[in-house]
Amino acid sequence: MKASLLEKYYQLTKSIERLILRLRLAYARLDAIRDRKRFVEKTGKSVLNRKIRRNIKAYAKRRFGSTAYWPYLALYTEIRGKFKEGWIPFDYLVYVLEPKWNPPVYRELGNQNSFDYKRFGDFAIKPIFYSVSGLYYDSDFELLDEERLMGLLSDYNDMMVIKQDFGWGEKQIRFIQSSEFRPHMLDPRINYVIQPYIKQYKVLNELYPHSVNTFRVTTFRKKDGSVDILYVILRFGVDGSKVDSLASGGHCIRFDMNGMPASVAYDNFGYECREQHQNTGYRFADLRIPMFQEIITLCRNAHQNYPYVRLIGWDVCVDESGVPRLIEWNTDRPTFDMEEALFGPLLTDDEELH
Amino acid sequence: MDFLANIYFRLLRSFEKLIRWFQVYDTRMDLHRERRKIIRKKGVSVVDRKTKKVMKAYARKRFGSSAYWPGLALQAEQRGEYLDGWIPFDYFYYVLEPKFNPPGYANIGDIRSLDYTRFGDFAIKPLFLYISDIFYNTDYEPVGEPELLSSLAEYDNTIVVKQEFGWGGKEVRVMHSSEFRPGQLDKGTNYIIQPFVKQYKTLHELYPNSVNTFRVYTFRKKDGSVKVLLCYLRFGVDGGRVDNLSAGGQCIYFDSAGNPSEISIDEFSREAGRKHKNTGFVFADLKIPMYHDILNSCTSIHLKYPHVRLIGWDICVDESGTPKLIEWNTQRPSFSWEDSLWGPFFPDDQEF
Repeated sequence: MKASLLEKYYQLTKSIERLILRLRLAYARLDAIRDRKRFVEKTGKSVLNRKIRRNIKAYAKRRFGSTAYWPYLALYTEIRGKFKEGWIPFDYLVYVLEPKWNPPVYRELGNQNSFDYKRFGDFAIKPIFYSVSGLYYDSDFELLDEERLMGLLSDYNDMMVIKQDFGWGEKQIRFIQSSEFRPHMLDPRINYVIQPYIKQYKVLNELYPHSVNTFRVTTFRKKDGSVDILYVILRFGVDGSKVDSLASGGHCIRFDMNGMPASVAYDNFGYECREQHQNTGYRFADLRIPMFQEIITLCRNAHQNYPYVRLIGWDVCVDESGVPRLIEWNTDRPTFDMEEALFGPLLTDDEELH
Repeated sequence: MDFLANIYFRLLRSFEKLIRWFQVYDTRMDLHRERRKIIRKKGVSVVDRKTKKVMKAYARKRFGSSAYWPGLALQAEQRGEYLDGWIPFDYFYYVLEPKFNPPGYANIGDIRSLDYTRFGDFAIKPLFLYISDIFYNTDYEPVGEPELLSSLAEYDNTIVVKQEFGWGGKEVRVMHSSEFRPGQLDKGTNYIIQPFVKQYKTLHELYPNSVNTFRVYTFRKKDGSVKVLLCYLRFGVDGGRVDNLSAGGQCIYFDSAGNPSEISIDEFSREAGRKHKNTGFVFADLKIPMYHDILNSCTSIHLKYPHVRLIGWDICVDESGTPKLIEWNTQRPSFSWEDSLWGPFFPDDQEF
């Protein structure tokens, strides 16, 4: 009786999970179709015809086992202007590959922002203090009472960044002058890292001064244990925005492995923008980042120490003195759909996928 | 589209609620079953109609529902009497633990291959790590199989092969280094390969066939201080190679001054004697000079990991008398059994 009840419970749980996955996949594919329509409306042209769609479906069936993966491949085709075999559709990446590459039990590693300084030392930004469960700690996790905290803030007397653990897409980030901080401002149910506001490297500041412009370096651990750099882009804000992320309206340019920037930027939809920053007029091709190789090496080495996850998106800024600093590392859904469309295919070797 | 999304999220929430209901029901059935087992082993039950009424009233008053009584009844059978102030397992597991050790941080202790990186020499230095089907040295440099095998042959000693996310000592293998073959490890599972710890003389004399470990519970209070809730020593019996109670081991309680209790307890919460049943070691004679070092190490590390409030530390003492971390449990460091035998540790809700 007991065993049969339990069996039914596990069967039901599995069926529900399967149903949820199907719903999620359907939802993601509808998103792809909507994004494609939006892209076509914006550019005023479509490159997708019946023949290309047939090719896409055949490719999806052959490589991923189902033609149902065609919507993202079609979106990539519109963005790139042509279909390229070798692409990995976003839905396959998120629902099939990522759970294998970055197993759920290790995925939280990068979300726990308040451990970054402990893990990466000076590659990370040294926090001014932490807020954990409503308690305040210094950068060595020594408990701070309110008096010591206020003393620390008055000594610091500069701009700070309040960053939420498990925060997404820069929406849970606040900028504040240290003198304006009050202990009751933070939600005691959430943990925070409070960091100095980074004054960025001269060139990056000239590119766009209102946001801290960051490099996204995506690294992939291969089966032999070596770490590959999949791509590097530099993100920057536009039109007065204080953040650089693409989701918040920022733009990006690609860098090749020699540290040479592309001449044109792209927006969040993969739409080609100008060759100069639309507000500052800075020519992208003129960007020179002397510490580019250092950025890559730091990300590669850091990934080497965390082989638990295969795909990591590193967000790195460069401080005033030219030192690369880790803003965050993304181990949970470090997806690369837009980048795959624009610069890919990034992973063509099936041996490495599974 | 938004309408569809709305339906989808509502459906998701309903499913989650349904699954939770099943889980709680299943847990309570388990508690009943466990209680029956204890009664069978002890041959006596202390829960009568009157006690049950008292328990239900306490559960309703403190936890909002009398449905928590099965956990309290089990605790009463384990202790031999009912005490107000206990936390029943289902309340701890489904209500308190997610607050004490939030899901985003709960598995930090499970990633055992990071322990040496985190705690340095308080942890046991691994020989090799096996992560995502690749062998690494302690500096996380990939190591080829020929190099691995020759290093192990050179090591020529007993090793422990421990599975990451393993539970209750079941996923631990002890073997001679020359016997190790890469094919013995499951693909897709991570492992730590460590030296076998030769334990401190007294603990070895207590029982030589298992590495006998202290389980220390630390709790981060609301004011940020960390206190030791309790400490007990586990040891194997009857030829058992592991000390876990679930594997047939026994334990003795240590007070905060480091004095052992006179009588050991078995997995069914029964008193099991004043001497080790195989070695004859008298428990009251156990002297652990580094006892306070053990507690201090656990407390000082917990202070640096305030994200989780309750941690169960498994500590052994090596041949030279140095405490070494075997593992730290931040996920399900459940302590209902300990709460019933030596508690209540949370007689009021001040810390919740």
